Amino acid sequence: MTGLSKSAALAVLQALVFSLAIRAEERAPIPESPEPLIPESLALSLPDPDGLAHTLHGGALAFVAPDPSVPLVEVVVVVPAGEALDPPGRRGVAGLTAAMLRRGGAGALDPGVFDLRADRLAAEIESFSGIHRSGAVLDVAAWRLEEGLDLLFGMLAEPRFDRERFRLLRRSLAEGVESQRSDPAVLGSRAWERWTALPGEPFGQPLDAEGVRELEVEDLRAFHARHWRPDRLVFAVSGAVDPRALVESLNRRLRDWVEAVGEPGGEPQEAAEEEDDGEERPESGLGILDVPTTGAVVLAGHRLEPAADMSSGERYAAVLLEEVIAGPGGVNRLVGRLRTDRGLVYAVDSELDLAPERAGRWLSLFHCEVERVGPALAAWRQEVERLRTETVDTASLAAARTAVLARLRTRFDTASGVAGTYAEDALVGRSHDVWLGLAEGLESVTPSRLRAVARELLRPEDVVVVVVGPRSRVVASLRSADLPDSWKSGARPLSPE
Amino acid sequence: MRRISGVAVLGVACWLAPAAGWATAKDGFLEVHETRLENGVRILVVPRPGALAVAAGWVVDAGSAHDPTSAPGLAHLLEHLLFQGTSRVGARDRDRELELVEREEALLGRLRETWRQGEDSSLPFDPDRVAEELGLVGELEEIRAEAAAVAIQGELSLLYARASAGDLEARTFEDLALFTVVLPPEALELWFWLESDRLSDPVFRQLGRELRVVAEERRRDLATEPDRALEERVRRALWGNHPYGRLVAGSPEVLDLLSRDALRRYFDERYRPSRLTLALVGAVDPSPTVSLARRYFGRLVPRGTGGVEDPPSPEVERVPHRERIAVACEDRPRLAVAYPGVPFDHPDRPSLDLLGAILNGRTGRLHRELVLERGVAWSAYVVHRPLALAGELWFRAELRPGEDPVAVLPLWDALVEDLRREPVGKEELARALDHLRVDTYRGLRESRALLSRLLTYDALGSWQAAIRPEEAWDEVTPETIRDVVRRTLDEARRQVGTCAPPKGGP
Repeated sequence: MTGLSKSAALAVLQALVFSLAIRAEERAPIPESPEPLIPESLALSLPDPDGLAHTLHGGALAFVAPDPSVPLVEVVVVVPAGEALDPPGRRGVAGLTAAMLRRGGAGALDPGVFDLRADRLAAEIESFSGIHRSGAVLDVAAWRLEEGLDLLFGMLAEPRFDRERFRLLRRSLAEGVESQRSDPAVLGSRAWERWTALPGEPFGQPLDAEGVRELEVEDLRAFHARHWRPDRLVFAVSGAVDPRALVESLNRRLRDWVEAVGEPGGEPQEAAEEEDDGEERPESGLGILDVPTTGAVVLAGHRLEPAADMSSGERYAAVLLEEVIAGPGGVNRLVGRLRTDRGLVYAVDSELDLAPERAGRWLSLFHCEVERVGPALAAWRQEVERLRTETVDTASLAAARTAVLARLRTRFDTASGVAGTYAEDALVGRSHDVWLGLAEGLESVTPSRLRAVARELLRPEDVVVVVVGPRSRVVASLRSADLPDSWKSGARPLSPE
Repeated sequence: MRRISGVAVLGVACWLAPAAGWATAKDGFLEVHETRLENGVRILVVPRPGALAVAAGWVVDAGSAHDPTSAPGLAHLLEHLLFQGTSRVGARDRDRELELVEREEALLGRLRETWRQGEDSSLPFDPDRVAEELGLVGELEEIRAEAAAVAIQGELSLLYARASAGDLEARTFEDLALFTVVLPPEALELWFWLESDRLSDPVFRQLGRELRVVAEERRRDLATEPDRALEERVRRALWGNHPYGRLVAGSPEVLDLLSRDALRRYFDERYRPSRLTLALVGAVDPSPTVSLARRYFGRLVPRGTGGVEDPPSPEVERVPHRERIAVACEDRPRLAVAYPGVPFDHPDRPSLDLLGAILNGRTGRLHRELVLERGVAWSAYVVHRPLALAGELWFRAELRPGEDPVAVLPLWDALVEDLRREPVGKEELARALDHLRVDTYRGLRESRALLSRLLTYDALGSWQAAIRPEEAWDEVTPETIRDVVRRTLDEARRQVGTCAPPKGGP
């Protein structure tokens, strides 16, 4: 072989240098300890939300995060209307409305034809509902996006609420409510919600099978017309999509929708305040649902006021407090104390739900043996009291920070997470700066500020406890535990209704 | 510039080749860089532009099916013990710890021998009970207390947490064990350090404590998962004495009999470098990642003799009229029917994949028949689980309150009979194929899910099947499916399980 050209020789030389670098690195000594390999700081560059946001026709919003790595598109659309807006005496309407959007047909398509159309596209189209919001999801191959959007908008704008499917679904929901009477966690949750429901909230009335059976299609139509409006929609779109083309497509459909129903006017009617049923309802205490279960379920916590007045510093402290009492990671004190250290419970889940414009809640739910209810509750109270009176050590605070930032990274790791997070901000009125400034904000939280926020938010005097289990054994377990006398001797009997 | 001779170029190229040494497969949308180290460890690197995190993990083909008959649950116990650290992670004073381990092993050896020779050897071995009989409780507790004081509980998890890594978890299945975590790209070398360390130098500390944790996990699972008891009993009946019928968690009281040396020998045999595959998905650059892999995992050396036998393929007897398994449950009635399926690399597997797509979904036969038309079920589906040596095909239905699972079974039988008698329609098959293809893409979206998928498929047969629609699906015809149904959905080889609330409702 003869010699090489100059450029080829240069390429070989570069490859040689590169290879030498690799070889040197591969032969570098391995540290004796992993400590030097723990990063001192982490770069986290979040996508600019403004670059993803689009205002659509009629006031709807869309956040679009392209991702060409997989030939799929996900379209999530949400409205700020859920179970909390069930009209008085009409519990279950929000959930049934959302469910029927998917099951009841759309426009000219009866339910069976709609299902077939979705099926032919290999699309996943679902609707969902929760306490404060409802929505729908379209997940479709990129080359079928337009057909998928036709189906999605048919569901949103022209639901048929097919009567036969409605009857089937209503029956399923009623049976579901009835069968949940055997689920201690559901019984306990409903009892806790009834006890702690605030005026104007529908949770004071039970979701019962009889009430569900009285619901009619007209109830659903009315709820849909009031709340599923073009101006209230927020879209989160991700995947193999061209933002400009998508926005044009959404606008075209929204114009058609607005043309069909007329311009939206005024604020949607909020649920009327519920009449006080006159039943005496203590603000705090312990109640027992006497159910012959194998194990016990315990719910403990209280409602929280809207957090609109919280300073940003307090909000960041609340984020860390949530990690310490409700986080999924190893920092969670309640899991550590109740489950890992003392084996008092099988499982414990907690929630610290703070929202600027509505009441939130702090709630722990644990499963345990009946005889451990008392000791588990006592340990729970002690741990909460520690958070209120002692400062969290700096190592735990640092661990909580890194755990929150780790989840932030996971949240923004996919295009779906990016679009979904920014869309959620728009829906709940949260500034995007919360994420963009999170790392710095968490760094500014001191142990004493965390303790102050814990004192503010976690109030033992307001705690409502619901225990689901065989009453006599529960009472015996409470008797020997370090708990308030009012809990031990004044346990209120609760009814599943 | 001086001309460089062809021979010199060739020489350089050969020298470069091992360092570059990976194959790149671009299957449609994802690039997977595959490398094999000299010691047999394989590495898969999948960069994803725009990702902020790295999903990292490894798989070893050592699952519950490889447990020795005398030690059911060993693979699962090892999974737990691999979180307890090494000589360099998890102990304040390693020398003192070694002394305590020796003392504890000697004491436990005495207890085991006493139990074997004693009159109550028919009872499960309980070291605390035997220690009490011999008056050795104080000594045992003293050793354990001091060992616990010397250990740094959960140091591995703490190190990861300090590096802002999360979702540290592991799972053991019949054929494999999977260890995964999600971490920032800056912590990649930390991952290589910690994972190669725990594979080269596990010390199996807190053995007694972990046995109790395993037992507690089992109690919790049974208490909180209503389907669990039914599924376990059906599987045991289906597989008989084959290891696939065993509980993954095994029997903690039997594992108490295991010495630390026996544990070590098993680990050395099963966790050889040639049985390991690493994968990293997300914010990774293949070249430096492979360099790190060589540096850290290249130092693993095989131990043991490599003479461990894999379990045999299971044979499921043809037994007409197998006894139905009935369990009580507190909530909705359920019906479960299990058949032996086929292993991952079997030619029938693509047909069974398509059969599932035909039966499942809103327009699938099961939903149409059992949910919409007959109104007996809330949900019904089939799932085929291909394992390394065999497979399981399950039909499951969650029934409406008041429905009798035994009365619903003939409806399933009628559906099967239709499939045995008549080939499925071409349009129905085309729809199922389309769904499978799109579903494959759905499995690629999220890094952690893709990681688990890649590693699992790799352990069972081939990672390539994890990232692209399978060409074998295109070869399946309606007649092929009919023939596979005849071979697989055989009443004489199935096991039926039912779960119903007591009379009078839940």
